[in-house]
Amino acid sequence: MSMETRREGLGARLAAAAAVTVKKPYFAVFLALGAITVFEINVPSFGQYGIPKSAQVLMLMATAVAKGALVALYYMHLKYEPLVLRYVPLVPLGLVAILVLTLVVK
Amino acid sequence: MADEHAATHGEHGAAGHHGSIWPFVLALAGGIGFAGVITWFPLALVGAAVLAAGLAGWLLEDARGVRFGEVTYPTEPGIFKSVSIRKLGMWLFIVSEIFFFSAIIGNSLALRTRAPFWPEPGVDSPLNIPLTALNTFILITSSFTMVQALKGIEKGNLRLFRGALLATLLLGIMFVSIQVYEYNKLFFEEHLTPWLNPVEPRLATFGTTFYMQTGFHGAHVSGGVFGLAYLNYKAWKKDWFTPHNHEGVELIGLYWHFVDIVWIFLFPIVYLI
Repeated sequence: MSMETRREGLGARLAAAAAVTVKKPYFAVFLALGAITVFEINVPSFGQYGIPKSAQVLMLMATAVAKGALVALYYMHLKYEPLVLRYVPLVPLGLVAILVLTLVVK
Repeated sequence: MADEHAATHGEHGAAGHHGSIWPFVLALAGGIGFAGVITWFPLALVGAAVLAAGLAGWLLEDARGVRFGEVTYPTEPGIFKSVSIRKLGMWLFIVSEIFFFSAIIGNSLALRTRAPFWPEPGVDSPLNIPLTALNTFILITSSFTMVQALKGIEKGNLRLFRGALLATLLLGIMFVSIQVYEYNKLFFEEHLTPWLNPVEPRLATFGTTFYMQTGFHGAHVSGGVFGLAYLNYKAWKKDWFTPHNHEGVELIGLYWHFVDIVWIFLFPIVYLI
């Protein structure tokens, strides 16, 4: 196999790889967001089944984090971005945690 | 290195592709405006006037079709070399917005922990959860239509692009309209005010934090609606956005999704907890 043929083979493979578009599950994410929101709206009524307020707050924060992550990863395309860009929005979150804890605990 | 830099500029042709002066005018307006808010209020009005002039100047410049070159990437080696500089700029702006909203939400939580009274959702809270739940669905749906618009232009499907973009704009207008209706009901019928409350004194702190959090979010959605309206206008101009040149759609989309994420956190914190 000559060098030229090998180069063509590699080029063809790269072109084929580039042609394959990643299927992005936009509609599935939309359905998941809707389903989580339906659950979320019903959480305040869980008190009548004996679920304490602190557990409700944890559930609501967990659903909010799940929904936020879905939007950021799939709709804002962080899942498909270079790794370095995925860390950019994470940078302020640690500082935010310190800020909120300071304000609430002080 | 200098030759390389010059060569890169040469690819883009026209002088001035570095960008526009108007973002700096907007930043100046912000500085003047905020300085006015904390020192001498008329200065805030000067800031607002400079802001209006800056926005008008930027829109007119852009509407005239001034192009600032194709999508560019940092030419120097570094960790962000594979990221478009405009997209990186938008993400850094979003980071600053995360700080902004975290300060507001954190402050509200701090006030809540010290307040002698806080209304219970579904018991004695004046907030309308079903109406706001509807607004939540509207905003989520608008995020979905926004990504559909991006998908449309990426695939060269102008019908999907324009239709989904218009749907996003209409959903955004609907969200803001429902919020205005909600504010009207709360202020005039439930007597929930953003200041000292003579009718319902125990709701004073709750009212302040409610209007501060939802008001700043509503202002951001309104800004996004203006951006979407302008994007819709450009979407109907021939060959403005193409499958190979549509970064503006993606950047406005990033902002819109961020506003959605802020609401995803505000909705349970303000209405359900």
